[in-house]
Amino acid sequence: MPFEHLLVLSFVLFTLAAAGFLTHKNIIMLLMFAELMLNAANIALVAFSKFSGALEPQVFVLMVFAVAAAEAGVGLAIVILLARNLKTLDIDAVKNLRG
Amino acid sequence: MIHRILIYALGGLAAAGTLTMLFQTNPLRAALSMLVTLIATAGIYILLSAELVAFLQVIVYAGAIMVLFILAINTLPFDSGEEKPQRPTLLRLAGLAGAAVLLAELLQIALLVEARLDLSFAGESVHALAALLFGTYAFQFELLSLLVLSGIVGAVVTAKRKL
Repeated sequence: MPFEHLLVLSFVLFTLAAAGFLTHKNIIMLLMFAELMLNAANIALVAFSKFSGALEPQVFVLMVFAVAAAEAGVGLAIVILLARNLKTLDIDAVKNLRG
Repeated sequence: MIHRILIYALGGLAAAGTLTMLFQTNPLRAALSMLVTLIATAGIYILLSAELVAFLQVIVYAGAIMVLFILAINTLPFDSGEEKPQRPTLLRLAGLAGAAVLLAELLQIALLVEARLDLSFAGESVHALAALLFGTYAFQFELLSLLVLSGIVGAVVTAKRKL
């Protein structure tokens, strides 16, 4: 199992998630794609851990898990607030700060 | 050998899950595609002998976070997924082009790395990981609990109608 292939997998997943993040309109979908980007980064970290023999990358992965969970919680709270005030989940409707 | 085949298969499954999500306009179906990606990733973690990470992936990501998303999708009444699913074509093309450039750059980096090692189960990795987490990185771990606590409080304060 060449190490690069795992990195390529991680990068492909990250890029696909980034593409979704850049093209979709639904706020919940955007949050999900953000989570998938974190997930893709985790694959690279675990690959580093496997091929260097060190366990520190796995510690980072666990920290990313906690950050992802906190992000999902706060993000969905913000989505609920936006949906209540704007009556839509369309990201293009959120432009009050445009000035 | 079987490890390699399984990793390639699971990697393909993860990529396919993300790809179907990319072309999915229904948020609930997209969430299920994302679930496929997350479970496949957990399988890859097991094959890379990161067992604890794999189990936490299933519990935290595929369990808690996905339940949160599906709950939000089902609770929020406005489902903009059906009628106006996509952004304007120019913006979509620009986004895809940006993602392609990102992929090209990252692949360049991947070709620079030249580490090749064999696959074998490490064993005792959970114990060593716990020693690291509660020993060397104990302070950071506590900071993490503070982060999650502030996340909980922030989510409640943000979503509550009236304090």
